[in-house]
Order: sequence, then C-alpha cells, then structure tokens
Amino acid sequence: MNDIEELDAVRQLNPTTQPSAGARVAAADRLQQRIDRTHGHRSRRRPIVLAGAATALAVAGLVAVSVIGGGSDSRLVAPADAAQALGRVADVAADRPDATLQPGEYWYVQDASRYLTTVGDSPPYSALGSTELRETWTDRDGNGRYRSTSTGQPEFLGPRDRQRWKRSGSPQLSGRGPGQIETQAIRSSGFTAGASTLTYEQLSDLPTEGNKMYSELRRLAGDSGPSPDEEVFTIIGDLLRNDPVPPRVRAALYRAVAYIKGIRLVGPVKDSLNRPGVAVELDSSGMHRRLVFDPDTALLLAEQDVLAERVSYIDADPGTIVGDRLAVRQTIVSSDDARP
Amino acid sequence: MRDVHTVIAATSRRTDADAILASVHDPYAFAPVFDRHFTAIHRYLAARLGSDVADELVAEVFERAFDARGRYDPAYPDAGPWLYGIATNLVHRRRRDERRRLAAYARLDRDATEPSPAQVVAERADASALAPAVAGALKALKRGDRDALLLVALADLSYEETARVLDVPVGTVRSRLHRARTTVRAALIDKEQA
Repeated sequence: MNDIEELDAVRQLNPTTQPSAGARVAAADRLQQRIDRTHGHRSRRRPIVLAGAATALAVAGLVAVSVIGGGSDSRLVAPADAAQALGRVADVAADRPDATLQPGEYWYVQDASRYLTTVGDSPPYSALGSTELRETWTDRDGNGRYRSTSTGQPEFLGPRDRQRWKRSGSPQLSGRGPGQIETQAIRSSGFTAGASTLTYEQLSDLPTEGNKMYSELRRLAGDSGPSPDEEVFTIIGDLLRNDPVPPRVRAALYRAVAYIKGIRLVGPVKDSLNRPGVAVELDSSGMHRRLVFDPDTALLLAEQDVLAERVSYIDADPGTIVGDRLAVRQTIVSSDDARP
Repeated sequence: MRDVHTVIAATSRRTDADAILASVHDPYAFAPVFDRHFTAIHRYLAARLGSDVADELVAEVFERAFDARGRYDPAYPDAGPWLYGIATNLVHRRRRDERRRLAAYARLDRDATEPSPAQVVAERADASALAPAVAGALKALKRGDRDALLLVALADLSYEETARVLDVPVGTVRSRLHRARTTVRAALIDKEQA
C-alpha cells in the first residue's frame, strides 16, 4: 500500500462522471440570469481606465457645448445641495448657443483615458495602465472614424505590481508604446444610449425636462447596467461626453442626474488636468463614480472612478482615482479628418 | 463612463485572471471562466455529494464566484483553486449530505450478504470493492483533513494550491494529508486482511 494507491482508492470511491448537458445548461442559465440582473452590458465592453498621467497628454482648448432649454422638475431624489448644483449647471447649459450637425459635417470628440492591461503568462501577474488620446469623427448617421494615439509608456499601478513583474523576469510589457496609432472605421446605425441605438433625430428629440428625461433614460437603459439608475448615470455621462446632443437636451441630462437615487454632491474638485469643476457621485461596484462638470460652461470635464475600498485587482488605496476619462474637445468639423 | 466606439487594449491571451479582471466592468467577460471549469467543479461536487446535489450546487459556485470577482487576486491566472475553494465551502454547508452519503457507502459492506464466488473474483479486480472501507475512513476524518485529501485526490490540486484553497500554511496541508492517508491506509489494510 502506498500513497498513490490511497489516492486511487479515494478517487474510485466516486468514479468520475460527466455532468449531464441539462446540468450545464441549467447552471449556465442561472449564471446568465445573475449577470443580466446585476450587470447588463451585452454588446459593448466597459474598459477599466486608470488614474492620473493625464498631464502627459497634450491638451487642446475646450470648445463650448451650447445648451438651451430647461424644464420643470418634480420628484427629485437628490439631496438639496446636489439638486441645486445640477440645476445651476443646467441653467448655464441652457444659455449656451445652439449648434446643429448638418449633413456632411462630423461631430469631433477628443478625450483622454488610461486603460488597464496585464502582463505575465504566469504568476506573478501584474496590471498596468496605458494612456491614450482618442478622437472620433461621427456624422449624422453615426458613421465615421476612430483614432487613438498611445501617449505614454504603460505604467504599473503600484509597487506590488511592479515587483510581481520583476519576479517573473520582467517580460515584455503589453500595451502600446508612445506614439503608436490605431484607427478604425465606425459603421453604425446611430448613436448608442443604454440598450438602444438612436438616430440623430431621435437624439435631438430627447426630452427637455429633467423628470421626463430620467424616465426616458430608464426606458432606454433596458436591462443593461448594474441597476437601472446606475445605467442611467452611465448613459448620461456617455451622452454628455460623446454625442452631439442639442443644448436643450444637454440641459435636461444634467437635470435628470438629480432623479438618480443615491446621487450626492462632492463639491468643488480639480480634474486630472487641473481644471476646476464641481463633482457629483454615485456609488457602484466598490467605486464612487463621479461626473465632474464646469459650472461656468456646463461642459462635462471628466468621469472618474474613485476606489471606495481596497480590492485585489488594483494596487491602489481607497480614495485613489482609478478610472479617468477626460473630455478634451467636442465640436463640429467639416470632414472626417479635420480637427478644430 | 463607457465608450461608444471603444477599443479595448488587446491582450494576446485570456487567462482566467484576464477574464475575471475584465468582468469587473464587463460582466459578460466572466463567461470563459464558467466554460473552462464547469465540468471539473461539477465532478468535484458530484464526488463529494452525489450528482443530484452537484447539479444543484454547481450553479451556486459560479454565481458566488461572479459576485466575488472584484476580490479575485489576478496574481493567479488559473481560477481553478479559487473555484474549488468556493465549492468546498458549499460542501461544508451540506456536510450532513456528505456524511449521509459516506455512511451509506460504508454500510454497503456491513449490509452485504455472503458474497458469491463471482463477487469475490470481481472484488479482487475491482478496487471499488474497497469503497465501504474508504468511505468509512473518510467519514471518520476531521473536516480539514478530509478537505485536504479530497482536494488533492479529486481536484488534483498541488499542496500549494490546496493550502490556498483552505487558507492554511502548506505545512498544515502536509500534516493533514499525512493524517488522512494514514487513516485511509489503515482502513484499506484492515479490509485486505479481512
């Protein structure tokens, strides 16, 4: 009798059996339902973007986004200070000049972000961030072009990740080196909002009152997102940052934030480009998710994920901005290779 | 925040850690973890609790793993040991089922009537005849000793992986395995001498 025989005897107590197809399907279905119920991004992936280093990015001037309109608000759930701040920025937005995207023109968006990537085929396994400056040109039909430029060397998030990388023999870092460019054609049937795709006309016809906008965004959210309110928050950030929404709609988007349960005012902050703004935030998946806006111009300056607690997959302390998307420029240009 | 026209930083490989890391913000990225490990985790549960209970519990293993994905340590590309750990915790919750099952196996020996000559021949060729003795030994083990033995025997985990699953030092795993094997060996020797 030796050790191998003992282990074999234990194994033979319960001969290996193949699970039934039914068991697999049932388990997959339950997992699918859990994912659907708690998070629902089906067709698009949300990158994990990382903090800081935005100062490495070349930053051009901001183009004001014009906003008009407003609307009556009721059933506000935000604390009074958050609702007031959002109301004020909506009013500012409403006073901005209008701009309509004409056929043949393109909506140009420039933003900056850092992405999490990984290195190492075996433990120790490390995470690092890559910085990108990203540009999109989108016409009224939702078609256009995407271009991203890597703007810095990938950076480890903290000493633990760097040490892991060194212990594994310092393998080649994944991610792109500085100056590397990636381009991609955008072929779309419109503009994405939650689980829905809107035409430019539908985008322009979104509600102009805060409560109606909130209800419409809940409908557009479908079953996407960790929760309906969190998905509404995401959609509002996407639309403010990415899409050519007319001014009256932009104002309503700010007002709609005040209908999201759990929203609170952070107060005056500076974004990673040292631009002063005001932030509101919503807790989600261990993060404080923030929208930072300029109260004087009604521009959305940044979306930030602030670590609420220590997690194993990010080598950073609570309070660290671990996700950062910085709006740099939004304006109308005359072709899909023009810049303002 | 979300990109409408996003391009994710591409990685050439997708380890479990990659998938779990990605799933924190893109929940559907978790799917490969299920695909890779479902069969093994089901087998492990079936070996400890029977197929019916395994059918019931295996989904919960992956649901719990999904819920806990934010706490996964990406230093470990293979999520197998992590999943076995979750499965083992669920087994503990059903320890009465496991003990009942082992007791039933152990009773097979005691309840057996006089074996026929054919059964004796089969017994020599078929190690499953040792099942009652093994089951009795397993039933007699302390829970930690039984976990260590079954994670090594059924899940093919290394000592280091088993230590991680059970959250104990490797030395503790060695001593637990030593005790468990000694108990099983004694039962098998008794059986052979009987």
